[in-house]
This record gives sequence, C-alpha cells and structure tokens, in this order.
Amino acid sequence: MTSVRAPAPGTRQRDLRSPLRFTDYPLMVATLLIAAFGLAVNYAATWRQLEFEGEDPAFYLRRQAVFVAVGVVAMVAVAFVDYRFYRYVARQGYIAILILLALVLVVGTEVNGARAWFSYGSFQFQPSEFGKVVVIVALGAFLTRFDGHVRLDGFLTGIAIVALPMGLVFLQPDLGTMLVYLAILMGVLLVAGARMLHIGFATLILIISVGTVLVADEVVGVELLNDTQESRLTAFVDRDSVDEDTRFNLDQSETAIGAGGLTGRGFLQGTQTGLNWVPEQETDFIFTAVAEEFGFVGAAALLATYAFLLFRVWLTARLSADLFGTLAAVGVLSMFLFQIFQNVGMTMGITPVTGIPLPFLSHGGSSTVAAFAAVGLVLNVRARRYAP
Amino acid sequence: MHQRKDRARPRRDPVRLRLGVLAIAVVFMFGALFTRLWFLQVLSADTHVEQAQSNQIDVVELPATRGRILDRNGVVLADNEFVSVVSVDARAWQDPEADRALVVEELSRLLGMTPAEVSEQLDDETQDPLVPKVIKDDVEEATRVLVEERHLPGVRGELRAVRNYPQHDLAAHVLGYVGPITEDQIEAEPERYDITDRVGRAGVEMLFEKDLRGDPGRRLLEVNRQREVVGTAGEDVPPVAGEDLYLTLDARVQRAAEEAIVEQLELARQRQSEDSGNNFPASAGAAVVLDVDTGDIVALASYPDYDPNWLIGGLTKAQFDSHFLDAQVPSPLNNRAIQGLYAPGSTFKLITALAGLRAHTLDAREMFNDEGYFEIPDADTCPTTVQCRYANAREAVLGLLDLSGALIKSSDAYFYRQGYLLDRTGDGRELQETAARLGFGSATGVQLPFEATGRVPSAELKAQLADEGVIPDGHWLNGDNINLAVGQGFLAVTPLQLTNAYATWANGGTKLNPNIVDRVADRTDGEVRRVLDRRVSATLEFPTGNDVIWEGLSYVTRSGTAEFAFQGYDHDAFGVIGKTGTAQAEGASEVTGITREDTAIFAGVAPREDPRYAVVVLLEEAGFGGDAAAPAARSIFEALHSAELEDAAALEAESPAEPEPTEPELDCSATALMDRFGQGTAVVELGLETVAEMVGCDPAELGPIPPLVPGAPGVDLAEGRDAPVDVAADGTYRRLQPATVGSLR
Repeated sequence: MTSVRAPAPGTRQRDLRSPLRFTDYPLMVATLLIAAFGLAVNYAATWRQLEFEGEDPAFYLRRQAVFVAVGVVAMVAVAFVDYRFYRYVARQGYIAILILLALVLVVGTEVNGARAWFSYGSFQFQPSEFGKVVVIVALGAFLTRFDGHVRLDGFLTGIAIVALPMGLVFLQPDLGTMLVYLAILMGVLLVAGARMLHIGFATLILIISVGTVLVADEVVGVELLNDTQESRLTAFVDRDSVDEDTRFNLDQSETAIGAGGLTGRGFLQGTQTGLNWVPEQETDFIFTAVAEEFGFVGAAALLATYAFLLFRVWLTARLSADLFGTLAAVGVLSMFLFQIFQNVGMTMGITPVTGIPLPFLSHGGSSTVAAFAAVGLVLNVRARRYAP
Repeated sequence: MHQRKDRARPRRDPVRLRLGVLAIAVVFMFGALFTRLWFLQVLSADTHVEQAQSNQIDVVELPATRGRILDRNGVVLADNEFVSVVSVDARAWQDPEADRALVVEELSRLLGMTPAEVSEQLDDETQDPLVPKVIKDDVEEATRVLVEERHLPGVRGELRAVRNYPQHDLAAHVLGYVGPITEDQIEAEPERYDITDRVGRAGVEMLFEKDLRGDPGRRLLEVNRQREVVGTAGEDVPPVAGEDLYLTLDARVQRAAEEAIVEQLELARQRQSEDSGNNFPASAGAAVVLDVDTGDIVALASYPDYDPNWLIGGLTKAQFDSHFLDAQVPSPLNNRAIQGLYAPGSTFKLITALAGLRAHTLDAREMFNDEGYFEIPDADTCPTTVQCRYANAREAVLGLLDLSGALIKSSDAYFYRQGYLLDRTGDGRELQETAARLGFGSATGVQLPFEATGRVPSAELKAQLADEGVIPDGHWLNGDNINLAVGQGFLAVTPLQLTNAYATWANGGTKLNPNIVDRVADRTDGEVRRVLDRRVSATLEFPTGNDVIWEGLSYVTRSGTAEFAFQGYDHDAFGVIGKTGTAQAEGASEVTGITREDTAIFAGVAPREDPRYAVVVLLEEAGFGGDAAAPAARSIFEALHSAELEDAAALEAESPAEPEPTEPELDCSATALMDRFGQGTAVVELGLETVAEMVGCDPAELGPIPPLVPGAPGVDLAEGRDAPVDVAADGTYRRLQPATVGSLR
C-alpha cells in the first residue's frame, strides 16, 4: 500500500548542497570549547583579587559570558548570509570601518595610552578589532579578481587597502593590532598569488623600515616610536634593554608559566596570576593563568585545540568553492595564527611585548565578538562549498 | 568525483602550493611555542615554583617575648609591655607621590600629628630602610584599630613588646639595658638577628642575652603585588618566649643600699673638708653585699645611676646630654662596683695584718708604740731623695697598741712598719701574694660585663709602668710597700674585689666567684632550667693570730673608728665586724676640677658570731670612712637583718597546718538535687520533696523546678546504673525501666 518514493531529484540535490550539511562542526565545537574554557580562566585569574577588594569575584566571568553569548550570535549571523554577498558590500564595509577608525581618533576614549575605544557608559566598542574582519573581506574581495596572478598594481593596491586602516590604528597608537593587520596582509597576499619577487621586495622594504624606525630617533632625531615601545619590541632579544616595569612583568609572566610545571597548581590555586603578580592577567597575559593553574598538560592541550582550529580554517581555505572563500579563510587563519603566536610567545618571552588579545580567552567584548565573527565567516565559506 | 576532478584546475595549483607554505608556517610557529612551553614548565619549573612562592609569601617574624629578670624572691625588675605602634612600609606604595600624600594626610589626622611631623618620621634615616618606619609608638589601642581599618597603603598598626623596667633605677647597673643591635652582633649570628633587633647592651641583659631572648616565631602571609595581605599561608610557627632570669639580688637590700648611698652622699655634701675647706663634692659611690657562704651578690649598687627605661627607645641628644653629661653626675653608666678602681685605704689593713702574721713580721700581741709616724730606720735604704717619714693622719699619736688595737684605732704607723718589714723579709713579696690570694689584681668572675681587674703594686708592676711612661721612675722602694700596707699608692681595687676579700676572710678561707644570677627558669611553668652553682676558686688557710684580727675588727663598730656611726646599733642581734677606710685619691676631681677629696670606705661582715654577709660601701670624695661610709654600711646591715627577720616570719606564717577544709554547704535547690541524683530519680521515682528530706534538706528550700530533658539519665537506685527518663508530650514523666526504690545511701 505504501510505497517508498524516491524524493524528487531537485529536492535531493538541494539537501545535498544544504549549508547545514557542510557546516564545519568540528571548527564550531573547537571554538566553543576554547571560549568556554576562557570563561573559567577569566574567573580563575581574577576572583581572588576581586574577593579581596570586596567585589563580586565572578565580575569578569559574567562580563565575558555576555561577550561570548553576543559572539555566538555574531558567528551565526555572519555564517547565515551567503559569504559571496559580502564581496559586494566589501567596499561599503571598508569605507565604514575607515570612518570609524578615523572617528575614534577624535572622540574615542584613551585607555592605557591608546585612543582605540568608543565608550558609552560601561559599553565599549573597539573598531580596530572589527576592522580586522572587514579588512579580510575587503582585501579578499579585491585580490580575488586577479584569479591567482597578482601583478604589481594589484599588489600595491592590496597593500594600500590594508595600509590605510593600519595607519589609522598606528595613530591610536595600537602597535599590536597594527601588526595583526600586517599579518593578514602578508598571508592573504601570499595565497592570492602575489609574485614571490614582489613579496620578497616588500619584505625587504619592511625590514629596512622597521630597522629605520628603531634607530630613527638616534640617527635622524625623528621619534616615531617612544623608547618604551621600542624596548618592548626588542625585549625578547635583549631582556636587559627593556624598562624595569616591563622586565618585571615579563619575569613574573615566565614565573607564572614555569610555576605551573607539568600538571599545574590546580584550578583557582594560581598565586602569580591570582594575586596580581602578573599584569593584565585577564587580558593580554591570560595565557599565564592557563599555564600556572593547568600546567604543561593544560597549556599544551589549549595550544593543540588552537592548532586544531587553525587546521580546520586551513582546510576551509583548501576546500573553498572559490578563491574569495579561500582568501577569506586565509585572512582569518593569518589573523588567528599571528595573534596566538604573538600573544603566547610574549608571555613566554620569545616575541615582542605588544598588547594583542588571545582569541576567545582574553577578556574583552570587541575582540571576542570579532573573533567569533571571523569564525562565522570561515564556517560560512565551508558550509557553502557546494552551494549554487 | 567527476566534479572534484573538474575543480582541480591547473590555475589553482599555485594557491594550493602557497596554502602549503602557510601550513608550514603554522607548524613552525606552534612548534616554537610548544618548545618554549616545555622548557619553562618542565625543564625549569622548580626555580619558577620557588620564585612564585617567594613572591607570594611574606615572612613576618613574630618576636619572642624576652624573659623577665627577677630578684631572688621573684620581685620583677625587668618585664615587657605591649605598645601599639603605627608604621609605614613605603615599599608597598604603587604611586609613591600620591600614596605618600595620602598617607601623610590621613595619618596626621588619625594620629593627631602635623603633616610635617609625619613626613619627618617617614624620612627618618636613623630607622632601617628595609623595615617599616615607625611613625608613632605608644598610640591608643582604639587609634591603632582605626588606622588598621583605614587600609592605607603600606600602613600597619600593630602591637609590639617593649622592654620595661618597673623598678626604674633599682639595680640599673646590674640589669643593664636593651638597645639597638650592633653590626658585629649581627655578623656573628646572622641567622639569629637582624638590624631591627634590640639586644642587651649592658649588665645581665647583655651577658644572658641567649637565655633571655627566646626564639622568634614566623607567620607566613600571602600577599599580592600591591603587598596587600590577602591571607595566611600555612600555620604560624609560634615564638618561644625567653627564659626568666632570677638574680641573686634581694630587692629590699638593694634598695636599702642605693638609698643609703644617696643619703650619706647628701649628708657628706653638707660637711666641710678639713683638707680644702670646701664642702665635700660627694658625687659618686658604690656598695656591694655578698653572701659569704655562696658568693651570691645580695646587692650591688652604683651611684650615680640611670633609669634603663630611658635607653630603650634611644635617646634624643638633649635627653642624652641631660641624663649622661651632667658634670655634677659623673658617668652614670659606669658600674662603679665592678668597674671603679679605688685605693682601699685602711680597709686593706686586714690584708696587711694577714700577710704580717704569715711572714712572722707581726706578733699579734706584741705592743707597738704609735708616736704618730713611722720612720724608715735604715739610713742606707732611705737616701735623702726619698720620703723616709710616714705620718698618721694629722700626726695623731695613738700610743701603745697591739694588732687588735691598731685595727680598732686604725693606726697607720703600725701598718707602715709592717709594710716596711714585709718588704725587707724573705723575697719581700708576702704582702703582694696575700693580696693576690684574696683576689686583688684579678677579675672576680662575676657574670657582669666590663669588670675591671685592678692592680696590686709590685717591683715588676712599677717597672712596667715606668716602661710604659706612666710614672717617671720604675725603682721599687720601701716606701711603695709602706704605702701599699695602708691601701694607698698604686693599689687599685674594685668594691666587689674588696667585698669578696672580706667574704673570703669571713667564711674561713673559701674564695668564691661571686654570682649575680641564681637560676634560669621557664617563664610559663616556672620550671628551673639551669642553676648557677657556687664557684669555689680557691681555699685559703689563715695564719695563727687571725683571731686577734677578728677581735680587733669586731670592736671597730663598738669602740673604734666606726663607733659613732654605729651608735645605738643592735650589736647583739646582728653584730658587725668591719674596718673603716679613708683613702687619698689621686688626681683632680671630675666634679670640682681641683684635688680630689678622700674616698670614704667601710668594709665589714655580719653577724659577728657566724658572718653570713660581707658589705662594702665606698663613697667618692666624701671624707672619713667612719663619717660617711660607715653610716651607709650600718643602714645596709640593718636592712639585711630586717630582711632575714621578715623571711623567717614569712616562713613561720606558711608552715602552720593548713586550715581545716570546711564542709561544703549543702545546696538544697531543685536544680542541685536533680543534678546530684539524676532527674529520673529525683522527680519521677521519689519526688523532689522525698529526696530533699532524705538528704537533710528542707523541702521548702527547693525553689523553682527546672524543665526536664527527655532521655536524660537518672540513677537506677537498685542497680546504681543510669536509666533514662521518658518525657511524654503532655509533660508527664516516667522511667523507661521500672526501678526498685532503694536506699539513697
């Protein structure tokens, strides 16, 4: 009586190509895992001092939980709209972010010497964090048109696309975020098919100009970076050159990590991070809290999860249906790779000291939401690899 | 499949290749992170763990309470008191300028100081930079709590134990004082002391530092980077209190000795010196009381003295000047009883007499005609260049005397002759040897710091002094021995040495090292940790004729040079055998700047029949020994006697049988009966009235009946076991087990 009828060919076709079917769940799970772990670490790094000061010990935990929730919404929202649509609004988004970055220099709030935030009451918004994602899309959209063979004009235009927001970030000044933009530029240019000659030449110019900046004040008397900034950039090479505060902070950071040992001092048992010995222990130096309380086992597991996340992003770049998707994924990959390497390396004293958040772990609204949005973009590309 | 192949267009190959490059970069960078992580967390974890702990944990020393110092009867001479101290640790400041401004402003308000005063204390460079600066000590407890609650950066209000001398200047020189540690002491025992420690700097405080000090404890505090204390780390190591020190002193006798010195010095200052016509300066003195059988020092006084409390917190220059640089009050820190060097004058005739008897230059009963002077008979040994004639004081002619009479009247001529004869008999060293045997010229070994040794003149000593340029001519002359025989010349003794010599003579020849400390005892349970034994340093035998000396000296206070001073004294109860001395002192007076007046001395033992105490009183520039020193000695002997009587009376009061323990009054309240017999028995089985009657109480006295507790025991009268009570909901009671009512006996 009942016969099983094969579904209509069209229906089946649609099912096969459904974005949900090709959604990269492992990437999503890895992201959520890291973010959830981040909540615990936010708490671990701050409860003791907050409690001592008579504040709510879960203050940072609650805030970060809100950020993660908003981030998840942003991730889903970014993944929801077909990524190919972003190509067509890239220009508008790019101009909008330039305006915001310019505006923040005028009306922004200065925190820790950088005018990087719009504040309204307790709400803060850091355009440079979202700018990273926007720039990835804009740069990808632009370089896609060269179809894997970027000539010099394209190469230079690509550089200009990133250099503009970078320059505005430099004026804040936020050296760390600026370097993230640079990392995005280099990664995307490389994969987009820039000629090795161009890349090599640009790198050479970069090295020379960095060298010039570092010696400029002594040689020509133009001070582009103050001494503290300079010494922090070179601290990983020459620990003694750095100012006393920074050196103390670096020593404390390494002590915190080392004190964790193989298996850690136990959740909520860290004293280096719990008792404020490590600076910025809930933001830039949050990795020290992980390493101190969970030890090598925990810290390595975290790094491995990050590596897995990067692998999934890389796979998306590899499997993308089009070059734009590949370049978007590469941009996100470059961004995360640089942030993770730079941030974790800084806490261990092998990279310069610059304030860059560790994605999904560092306490902060804009950086967390932007990181989720970036993952959303990658999920989007992967999910639509067969989409018409 | 077909589609996939289709996608792998050749023109995308460079993208794949470059993605490969990116992958390599990822692997490389993560490899670097893992390597560094491994190095920090696995290879060098140990040093980091240590570093983290030393960060996190602040070790606070819990000072040990210093042991007390008490007299032989338990009178507290040195104790500790707790004072509230407010201090500031500038190292805890995050923003030095802002924090300093805040601290100065708040503390000046809380402590009632001006901001300038607070600032001055903060910048006080005499305080150790490594420890919190004391802003104010001795603040009110309420103020201290207020300061603590304010949680100002680096500010702490804490209790500190501070040495306290409740008897003030009593026995100050024996006690010494506690003051800041010296660098040498820290270097000697770096693990025991640090720069903030206060240690004994003089007296027994110094010599018994190890016993008194105790061991400090430790508290481990958990601190954050701002050096705020967030908790403790582990158990405190409690401090071990220092041991109590019981001195041989008797505070009553000590006080009497100190008062006697002051009193007699004041009287002496009202008298005129016959030598100069001026009033005696009488500025200083010392007194020693020894137990002749044990060597225990019963009193050791030195005047001028000081209040050791002054020295605890350190002195301002003005305070120091007014206390210690007053010309009328010379060298109050000197303990003259053991550090002062004096000519003993006629009190030394005891030694000369013993030497004469021993060398047979003296026949105790042989009569000597004192014509007021002694002249060296032999012209050869007395060339015109040196003194040949030695006169009595004011050339007094004392007439015919035997040894006894010579001592009673203190004939100088008699002993000048002995000095001369002793110098010419045998090797001429008998007087020096006798003096040395009795302890002159060497330290007595009392447990007090800085004891002087003194000197006994001899040919060698004189030659040595000449070599050192102290005196022009080093030739030993008869005259030197003649002067020595009456306790003058180069002879220098401490009051303690003189006392000990008389004590040795009085106890029959047992020379002891004087003790100032009797025992060391645990502070909490009073258990004796260590008793300082009596130390015999030599046993001497006295020559035949000693009884004549004994006889002579026993008349000094009755019909001799001290007769006037001892008028009305109860010689039968506590008779004194002694000798006065009036010694010429060399040099100019510290006080007047002109030639020193005579030193007044009295040395004696009591009671006469079986001496138990030796007493020496020495008053500088106070005139005749009989006028100034003997009355002071008399006061001390009287104090000794009354202290003995007091102790005997106390012993008697203690010994009678303890009063009969009175029958405890019978408690007839309901509560008491229920407690005694159990509520089951008292209330349920028999009823309270019955129980009351059985034990002999009036049932009317029962009073209110307390509520019963379910399940509480009563006594099972049949078996003597406890049996529970059942209280029903309606308030009625019954035993859970039926019991037979038996006798309550």
